Amino acid sequence: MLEHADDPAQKTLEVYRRNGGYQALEKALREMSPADVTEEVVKSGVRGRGGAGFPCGRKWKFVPKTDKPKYLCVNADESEPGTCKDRQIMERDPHQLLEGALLACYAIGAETAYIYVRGEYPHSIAILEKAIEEAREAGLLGKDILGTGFDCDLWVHPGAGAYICGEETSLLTSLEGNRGYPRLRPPFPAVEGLWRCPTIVNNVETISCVTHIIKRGGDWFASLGCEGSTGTRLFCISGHVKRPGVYEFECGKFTMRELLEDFCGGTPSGLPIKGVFPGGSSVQVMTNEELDVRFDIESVQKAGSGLGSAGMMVFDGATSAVDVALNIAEFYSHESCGQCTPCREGSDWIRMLVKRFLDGGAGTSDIDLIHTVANYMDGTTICALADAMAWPMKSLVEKFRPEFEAYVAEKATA
Amino acid sequence: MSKTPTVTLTIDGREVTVPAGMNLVEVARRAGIDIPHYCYHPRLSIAGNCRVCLVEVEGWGKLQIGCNTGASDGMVVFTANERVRAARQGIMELLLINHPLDCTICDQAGECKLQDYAVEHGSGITRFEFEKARKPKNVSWGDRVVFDSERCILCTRCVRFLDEVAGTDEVGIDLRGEKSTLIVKGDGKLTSPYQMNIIDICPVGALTSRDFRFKSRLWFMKFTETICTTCARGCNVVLGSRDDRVLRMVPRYNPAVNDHWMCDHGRLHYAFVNDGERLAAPRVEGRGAPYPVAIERARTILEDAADAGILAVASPFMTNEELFAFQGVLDALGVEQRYFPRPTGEGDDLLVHPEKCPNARGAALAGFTEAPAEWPDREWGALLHFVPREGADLPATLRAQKRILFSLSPRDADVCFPLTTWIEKDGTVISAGDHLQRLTKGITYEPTLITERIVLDRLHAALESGFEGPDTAAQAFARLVAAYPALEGLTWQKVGLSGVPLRLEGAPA
Repeated sequence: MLEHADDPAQKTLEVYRRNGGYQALEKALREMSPADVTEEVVKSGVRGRGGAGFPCGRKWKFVPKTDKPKYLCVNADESEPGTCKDRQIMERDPHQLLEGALLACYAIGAETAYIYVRGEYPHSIAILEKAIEEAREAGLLGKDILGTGFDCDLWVHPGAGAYICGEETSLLTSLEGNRGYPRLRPPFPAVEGLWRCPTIVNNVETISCVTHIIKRGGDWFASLGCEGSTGTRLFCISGHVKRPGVYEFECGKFTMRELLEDFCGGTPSGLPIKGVFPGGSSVQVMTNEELDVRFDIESVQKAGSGLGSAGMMVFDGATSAVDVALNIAEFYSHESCGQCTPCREGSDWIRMLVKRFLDGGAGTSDIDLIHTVANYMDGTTICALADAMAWPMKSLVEKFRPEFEAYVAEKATA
Repeated sequence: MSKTPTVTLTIDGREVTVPAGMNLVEVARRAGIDIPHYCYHPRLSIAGNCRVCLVEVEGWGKLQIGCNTGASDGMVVFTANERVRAARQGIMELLLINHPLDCTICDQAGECKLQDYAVEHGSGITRFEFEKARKPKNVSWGDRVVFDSERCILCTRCVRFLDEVAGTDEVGIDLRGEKSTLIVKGDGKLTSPYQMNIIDICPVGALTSRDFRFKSRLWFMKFTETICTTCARGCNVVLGSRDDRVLRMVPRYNPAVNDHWMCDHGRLHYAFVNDGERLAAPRVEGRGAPYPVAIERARTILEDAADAGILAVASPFMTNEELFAFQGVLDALGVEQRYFPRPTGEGDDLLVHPEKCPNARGAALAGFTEAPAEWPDREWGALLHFVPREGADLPATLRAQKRILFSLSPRDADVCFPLTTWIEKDGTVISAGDHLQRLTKGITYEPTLITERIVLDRLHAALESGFEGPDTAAQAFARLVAAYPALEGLTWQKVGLSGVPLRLEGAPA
């Protein structure tokens, strides 16, 4: 995906095509049926890159056969802390996203696709708009694409700055012009999504994978990476490492320790890594002792965390776990949409509890209380935002309990 | 008719067979189990946000919300096991951390789901030691509804009612997370003629009625299940009173008549009952008189006027039993000119009926004819007139030598009997759709008042020796059943509190 990312001209249609762009689309529209495209994606084993890791081909197969219009929504509301990969695709190689979106539309029978881009990404939006304009002028978008009779159009929709709108159902609600509240499932969007029509919501990176899957075949894609985490994946590594950045790797080829200590050079301070959030802040923190785990979806899950969006955040030994907890708690309590009781009330309560460790006045029972309130939130709400706060908070108090206790003692004597 | 497929599932060890897909809150209700819920309302879309109806479905992993989980065959549901109880207790603790706990000054106290569930499902303690969230209080949403955001649990029942039932979509949510608060769109004032229903469906004290707030604690009140008589719909209501004065009306569920709702106009239309200026004793030639004296005076007037002609005008606010008693009097006198006015106005698609009276159908059934637009130009020997509580007054030009009136307020007449209102008597009316419904006595405006049916029967007995009227409303109804084929087989009990449909012919549409 990042093969041509360093070429500033790659974002133009001309260079994209020169590098083999839109061949997958030609191939699909001329030689493959929509079902063939879906089959190829199923074969590739590609799993969602947004965080949940749902198998993409299986999701597409949920689209029912109806006369209702169908929609594709590309989730480009990249807001997960520590995650900045979709932006690279949109800004450096936007046509592979457009091509993937057209392929997905062809597969699911959609004639309209929306790219819901994070509002804080005006640069991405401008580049996408330009790419869409070019594609439209070249007959790659709109009516009768490449003379094959396939009609499809793409629209960019800017978000308004809410983290929650990256959640697929609130993205749809927001796209419809309403307040970005997640919706109950069932019905799942594939059955009843945008304007109550079948809708597939896929992450930017997932859709970009589709371009390569159709171009080179599902088998080729499946041969990369490892079982359960096929293909390559973009990793966003930030925090206390010497060489942070967005990297493309095959999954499962090395451990987290190899990635962080060898490839990224360890911490700038030279102190040992203290903790890592391997998949954005919405997953359980992993301690130094837990880093010898293979870096793929299933291995990380087995280790008690999640690969999530592969937005990997590292903090070193000089960082207070309580500070980390407060940072995370403030984020989620600010971003909770307020719809469900546990998240609305619990997220802010946890924020206040964590803050009390730093301000003084906390007791050791507060450590358990944070855990209890996080448990109230875990698995009890409409969307996963409450889980996304509960998991890091629970793991932080479980794994760094002595630090919380130290604050209690220190502030009590101060 | 296609048969809805049914499924059999187990809920708390009880096997139940229900239509496939029925949500678990309703399934539980059928099994006699109450799954607590705030945001769920059977007539509104599913919001699933309060999370208090969490239940465990065997083999499903996470707890599921009962309101959005459909029944399927072989499902095993637990609504009160340890895991569910712990989760529910957690939700209750969370709902209360920012709640002001101002029950002592809250109108909802006594019918508040937060109170009920806190007692039933809560732990009784809080571990929240921070300052509670401050939100707007005493917010005017117009002249009928007052909003308190701190009490609000954001269940969005009001939002959904106004959007989905009233069709005005005028309340939304502002801000986010713990700061979320309801707002009225536009100028901040509600416009819906059904807006007060949001007060009823608000499970907590966030929405209160400007009309009722601070008037009485609920436990000092008496509640009467009756109907609204403002229009022909006959919405079923629970009327709340205290010390024999009406304090409020709220709708009572009846799927055949008004579902869960009623209009604000009907709900607020009761001040005339409490009016201190009402006629509380009969008057003869402008002076107070005991009932026997007034009845005797009426008898002589009517007997003397028989030759000159008597005009009888009934009211469509009278019960069937009163109309029947009136018929008896008129039959005894041989009166042929029997009319009733039928006040009309605007209706709507939801509940408000264009006929602005409860019992025009009953009046027609009792043989009264709708009043003509132009009364015949003649002088009557006597006028016997039930003055409706509003509208369709007789023209001042109508000439009669003597006037016997039944009226709420004192009027110029030879004999003026006090009217009682619908909440002061038992009886039946025939609502729109020919639905026979019962009125229930809830208050006594003045202990000395005698209801019209009894007055009419006494007048009848004075005119016709040997006549004896029935004692109770149930007995009066039994006489009606005997007289009208349309009521065949009915009893007072069968009419019950939800009424029964009739098949009438010739009644006004």
